[in-house]
Amino acid sequence: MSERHDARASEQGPPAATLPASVKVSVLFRSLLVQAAWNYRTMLGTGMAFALTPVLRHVHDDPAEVERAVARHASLFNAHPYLASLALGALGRMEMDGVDPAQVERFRAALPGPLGAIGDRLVWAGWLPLCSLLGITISAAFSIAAGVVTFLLVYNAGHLAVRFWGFELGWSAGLSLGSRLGGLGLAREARRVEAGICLLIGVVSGVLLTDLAGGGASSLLVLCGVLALLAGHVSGPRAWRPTAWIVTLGVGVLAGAGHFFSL
Amino acid sequence: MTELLLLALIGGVVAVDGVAAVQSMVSRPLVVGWVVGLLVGEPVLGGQIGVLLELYLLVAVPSGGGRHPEGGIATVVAVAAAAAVSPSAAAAGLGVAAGLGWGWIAGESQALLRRWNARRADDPTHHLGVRDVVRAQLLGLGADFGRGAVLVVVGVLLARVLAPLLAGPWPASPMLTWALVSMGALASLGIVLRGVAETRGRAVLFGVGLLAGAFLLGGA
Repeated sequence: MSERHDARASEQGPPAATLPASVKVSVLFRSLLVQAAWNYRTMLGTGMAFALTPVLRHVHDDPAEVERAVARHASLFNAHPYLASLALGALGRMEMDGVDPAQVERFRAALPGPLGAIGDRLVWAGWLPLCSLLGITISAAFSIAAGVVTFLLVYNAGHLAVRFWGFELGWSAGLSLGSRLGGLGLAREARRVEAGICLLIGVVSGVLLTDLAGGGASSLLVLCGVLALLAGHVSGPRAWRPTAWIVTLGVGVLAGAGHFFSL
Repeated sequence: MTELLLLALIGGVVAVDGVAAVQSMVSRPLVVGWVVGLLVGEPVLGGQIGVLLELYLLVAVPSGGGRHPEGGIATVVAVAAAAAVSPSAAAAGLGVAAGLGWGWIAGESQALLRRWNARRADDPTHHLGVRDVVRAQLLGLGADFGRGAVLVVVGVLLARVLAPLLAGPWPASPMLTWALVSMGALASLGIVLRGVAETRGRAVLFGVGLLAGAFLLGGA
């Protein structure tokens, strides 16, 4: 019984240490700027040090110790910017608990892979296209203003919730963040979001193809539209640049051809 | 002049929102197209171009250090180019082409900014202190804002000069021009679909959506 209790306690991390609300709010606001100095050498490093500074000042009384901690946290770090709040919470907690800097460094080195992969799938390839397609669908159904407002409200409700939740989870988990991440069921959430994207891609494709059907040479244009959709689906991401080039070139050809004849 | 200054301000804001700060997605083409359309007196055209570029750039997300076209700046220039020739049939085509081209240039300028940021972030001569970090953050933000504003001013001025020259003898009907740019948007949707439609159930969802879009919303 006691062993089971110990195992659960270890999984859930140490009892939560308290952080003054003003410090927490300051870190969360600063985390919005975590990519302000994004660069190819330290990536989010500078932003992480900037966002963690209020915690470091709260934890360390000696200004020289604060400077040393800032220097440590300004080194190379990469993560999805929204999920960086998870790392900020966990790293802040580790500083509060007085964890050995070498162990903090190992922890920092292990986090970027999982946080980048989860964030890319859940946000960049999931939540953003879902909200974007929802906004476009609302634009088609009602008005562009309604679509834009819906997009911004829905997207940012999720975005800000992830940042806040991430910091809280990171702070409560501390060193055990890695094991806690695995049990969150984020992959299941990502699958739900992807199902929604499928539905909305269908809706927007239907609207675009119907628009093409309204033209003079309707069946030919609809056929071309279906082929374009299929070509994108078959080719995948490598087709994106050629698509952009072909459309730009097509517009250029039309502009040039205008000098000679009219279609 | 006031309009150009406001566009420059929007350029700075969307450049910063794209990666450096907040990432609230006010920098997405869907939002920027509508806002700039209102500003230049073409809300419908701005909204249409915003929707098209949003679809094109669904696959170009600000992920890590990847180079991607910058949608916010691209859309400001795209709407300015389209508005410069509206109501010509060329408007949507020239707008989207200008946006795609300028988006790439903006993306490359972001890569330059990231190299410039690296000088302060990783100084081998001394460890960064609190002041250095704050300075690097502020300079990064300021430079990104300035980059967006300058790119928009240059792009809009070029668009206003070149777009009327290109649109003058435009040979295609509005429908054909719209079809051309819609094809690219549909291809982009196909690319996104490939990444998410892994099961038969999702293919069914796509089909249901397609029918709903065509019969309930088509022609809206």
